[in-house]
Amino acid sequence: MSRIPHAKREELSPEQQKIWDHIHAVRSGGGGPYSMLMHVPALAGHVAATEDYFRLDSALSDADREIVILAAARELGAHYPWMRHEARACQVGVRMEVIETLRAQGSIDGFTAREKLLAEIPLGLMRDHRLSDDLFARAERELDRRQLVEVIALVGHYSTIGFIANSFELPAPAGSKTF
Amino acid sequence: MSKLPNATRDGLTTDQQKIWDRIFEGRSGGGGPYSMLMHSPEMAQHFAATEDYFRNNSKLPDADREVIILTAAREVDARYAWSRHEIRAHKVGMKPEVIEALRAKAPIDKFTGRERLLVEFTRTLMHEHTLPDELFARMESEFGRAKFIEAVGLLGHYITIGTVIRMFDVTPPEGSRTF
Repeated sequence: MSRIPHAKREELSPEQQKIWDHIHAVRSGGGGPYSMLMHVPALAGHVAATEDYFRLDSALSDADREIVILAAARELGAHYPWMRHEARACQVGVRMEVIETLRAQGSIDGFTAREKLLAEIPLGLMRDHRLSDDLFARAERELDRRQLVEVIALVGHYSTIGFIANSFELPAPAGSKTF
Repeated sequence: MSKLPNATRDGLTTDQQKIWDRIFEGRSGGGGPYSMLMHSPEMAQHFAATEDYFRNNSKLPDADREVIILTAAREVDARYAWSRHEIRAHKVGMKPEVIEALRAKAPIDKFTGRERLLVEFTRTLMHEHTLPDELFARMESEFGRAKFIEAVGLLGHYITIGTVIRMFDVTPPEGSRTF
């Protein structure tokens, strides 16, 4: 049970129902952060549009993105986003070893250089709100300018999602394995 | 000097220049984090739209918003955001002693109950990534569902903004007093 009830479609105006339908058209498994955000439909629409950009138009590859999101969700202790993105990470071919290591918050020594970079950026940003000189230099070598700002903003977006999930104690669906 | 060169309008397509003009029209102070985010114009427009929502359509009153933003900017040492929102906080009637206490990270016992609650909410979610039951209950009873959700979303947005500022060393306009 989340701390507040889910928003309900039938209580929304026709205009707001359009936002609802748009959000749900590309998201499976109701009950996520948008079930809370939809208490403020216009805001939910903007947050979802940001997320859709990352999903559909981003300069980052699917696998790159999912590593960043999993590392961010794990660091925040956000179970629902972890669960959704664990499924997605498997689909887009993130290595099992990477997923299990992030889940266990284990040592990333076995990661490739790129996997390491993508896991370390969210941790650096969430813990220190910046990157060490070494990590920044690696990020700049590995990513072009557009990808670099998108990684930072993606971590930011999932801070919002994680804060919503945690503030309102969104549970992962019964039976899902998180951490 | 920031760590990445500012995006420039010249290098953009006509459509992207429209995004640029919309974003920079409503923002004084040279655009700050948006001069970085505009390396990915289609992404930047979504963050700007979310921010404009808070500024123009939010249910959360101006003064409440500025308490959250100044507290968050101070916690992550995002000087650019502080400098812009200190000006805005004055405009919306925040008491100078509140601004000075936030700047100095001084005790907040002279704040109103509502101001104290917002500072506590912001710092707790930023550092603990979650809200204890009693803080959740106070937020819900003071703000109600919609404004509470907006407060969480607003904090998430300014985590993104603050992170971009810190990550790329975006400096406040010449002559700004920050902390």
